[in-house]
Amino acid sequence: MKKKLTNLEAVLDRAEYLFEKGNYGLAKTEFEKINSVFPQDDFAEKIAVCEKEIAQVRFKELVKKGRKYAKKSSLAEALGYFEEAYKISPEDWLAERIAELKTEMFGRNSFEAAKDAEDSGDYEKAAGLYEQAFAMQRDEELLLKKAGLLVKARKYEEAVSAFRSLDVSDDESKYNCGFALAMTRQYYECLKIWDTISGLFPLAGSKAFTEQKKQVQSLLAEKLFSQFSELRRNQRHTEEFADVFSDIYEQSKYLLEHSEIEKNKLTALTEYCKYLRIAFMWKQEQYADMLELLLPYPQKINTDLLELYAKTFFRIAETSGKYFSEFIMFWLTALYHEEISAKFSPAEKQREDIRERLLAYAEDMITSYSESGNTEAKKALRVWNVEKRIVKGLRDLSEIEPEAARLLCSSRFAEKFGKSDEVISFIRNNRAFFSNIEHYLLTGGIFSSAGKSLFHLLCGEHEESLAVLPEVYDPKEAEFVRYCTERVHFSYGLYCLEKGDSRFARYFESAAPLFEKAPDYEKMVIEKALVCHRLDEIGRYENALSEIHSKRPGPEIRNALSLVMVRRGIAMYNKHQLNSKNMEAILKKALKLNPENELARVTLRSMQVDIEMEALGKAINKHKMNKACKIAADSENHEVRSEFFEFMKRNLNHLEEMEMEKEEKTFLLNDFFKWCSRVDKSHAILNDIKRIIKKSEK
Amino acid sequence: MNPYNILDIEKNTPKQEIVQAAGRAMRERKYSGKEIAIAQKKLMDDISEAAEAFICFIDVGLFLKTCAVDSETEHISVSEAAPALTYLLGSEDNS
Repeated sequence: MKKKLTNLEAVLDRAEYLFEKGNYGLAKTEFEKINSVFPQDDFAEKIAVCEKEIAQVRFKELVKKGRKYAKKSSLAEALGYFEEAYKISPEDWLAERIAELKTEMFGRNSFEAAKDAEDSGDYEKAAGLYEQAFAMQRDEELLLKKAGLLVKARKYEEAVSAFRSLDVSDDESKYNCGFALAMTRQYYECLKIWDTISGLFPLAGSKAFTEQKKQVQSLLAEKLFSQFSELRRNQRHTEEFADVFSDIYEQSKYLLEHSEIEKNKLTALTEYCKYLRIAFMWKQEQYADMLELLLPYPQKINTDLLELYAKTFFRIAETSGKYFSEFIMFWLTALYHEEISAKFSPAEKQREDIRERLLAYAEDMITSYSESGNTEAKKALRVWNVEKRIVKGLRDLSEIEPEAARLLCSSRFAEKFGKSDEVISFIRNNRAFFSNIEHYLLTGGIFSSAGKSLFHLLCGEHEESLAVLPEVYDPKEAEFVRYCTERVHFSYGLYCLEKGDSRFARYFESAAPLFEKAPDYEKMVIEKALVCHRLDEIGRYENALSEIHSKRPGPEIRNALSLVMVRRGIAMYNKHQLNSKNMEAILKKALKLNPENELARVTLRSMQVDIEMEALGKAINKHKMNKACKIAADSENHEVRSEFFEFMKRNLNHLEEMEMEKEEKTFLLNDFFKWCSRVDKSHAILNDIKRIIKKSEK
Repeated sequence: MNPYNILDIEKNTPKQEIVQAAGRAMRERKYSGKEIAIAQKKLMDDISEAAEAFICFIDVGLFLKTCAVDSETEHISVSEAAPALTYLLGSEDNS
């Protein structure tokens, strides 16, 4: 018995050891041995734990195997292992995986079947099977395959419907989709998708495909004309059919741009739909959208089109605060156009009033935007003022010369629609009409190839203005371009002057001929020169005036230069940057330029007194009385003489009070008399000296 | 502000009807009294009425007429006989 017990203890120790080590299989056997001999709850519990752990290990093994086979795409084997594992531990994820595998297996079967059907030419069946395979595998390629097979099966509508929900990105699918669209009379969509087929696609460059595209284009054209005719026949020009006309427009425009179909009729159709759309958009106040239809501008513009553009840009500028430049171009041209303004009123006076009212509308609108800080409007206002003046000028000319009426337009309009040469030629032929040479040159200049530069100048854009000056131009417009160049250079020179750029002199080189034509610019630079205060600024203006004066020495520029010279001299002298002698030289030069320069005269006189006083003081300090006498005698300034005699008077008073020998005193007094008489023989001090001499002799 | 829209009238409406339209607009209260008054004032004056008519209306009738004539006088050149389209990627189902 003791031996049996000893054996049981050994088995239990071994069982516990194996349990601790995680060897649940052997531990379970040992615990079962003990439990059969000596049953206890404790052993039963341990046996249960072992069984649980053994099942867990098995579960893991099965799952591992299942995954291994799934990876190898051996779906049946994988499914077997997963199902066995599920029996051990029915976990949710395992159930999902089993379902997935079953689905995939089904899909694979469908796919295999679909391929077989396709190979045997049963495209419709194959399409159905690909859809089934997709239901299992969720691979969009399968749906593309299905859609393509529907095309082959001539199930075009179903194919279109299938393609619509897919991302058709490969060229074969694009061809199939386009073909299905064409076969369902959706020619435009077909062509659009065929246009995206890559050049690498074998069919892309083939004659057959090119011909097929042409065929579809023709079918589209036929369809559009048929649709259009029906709409017109049934009087369906209402907004209700706006979208239909819009589609016809888009599609016919596409054909015009992409096909070789005869253009005339197609153009007419496109234009018809375009203007109808414009009318609908106008009613809906969708002015900005109208731009898409009105741009780019046609090469030629007739009266009705001009009116339409003018009104549209008026509304666009009014509602958006943009496109002022385009608005001005059309508005001024339209309002002064004979045929357009004739529609205002049959009475001339009333017609004029209406035009003025419309001009005021435009000006108020631009001004209002400009005052609210709109930069484009600010520039536009300057352009407006000039363009308006120019067009009004031409209009006045048209009263004398009726041919002008035909040419009445803004300069930008002339440039855009090729009328500039004609207008320039007309201006040249009517030079006598203009009030002055500048009016003539400005009018021609605005219409010349340098007009753009002039507008930049008006907008204060100096750099741009200089940059766009034409280097080559037609000899017919030479005088106008030259005028513009001179104006731009002059303004750029002023601009440089103001910002301290030393290049100004280069741009003033051509100022002289400009001043000849328009003296106001000379006045402008003179005024600017006379109001500046800073020394550096005065210096620059002096140089500028000097440059202008060297080229065109007129009295005004000469006097201004003289004055500015003195002002700069004074400013430098006051800052101790100039000594008296140099200052005197400047003043003399200024007086030479303009002897009536009062400032120079007064300053020079004052300077000379200072200079002589200084020399007199120096001579006296060095006891060079002969020199002092000469300075006082030669001086025209009474201040210098007074100073001399004051000095002598002080010395005389001193001498009277001094104790000295009689002879010595008399000798000195005689010298005093000699000096003073040399300066002024009639000066009163001479009597005083005589009196003192007499007194001392007594 | 389009005075014709405010008063819901067409171009060249007689003055008498403009007054009536203004009354109607007042009753409808779609626009403020001030807007209606301004619209009426603009359209009662001959000069400003003509100016407003110019900026409020466009006439595309002439364009349409010209284009319509052009599109009808010629025949569109469609490819001869217009045969049915042929599938170019292999054969189609013959069933």
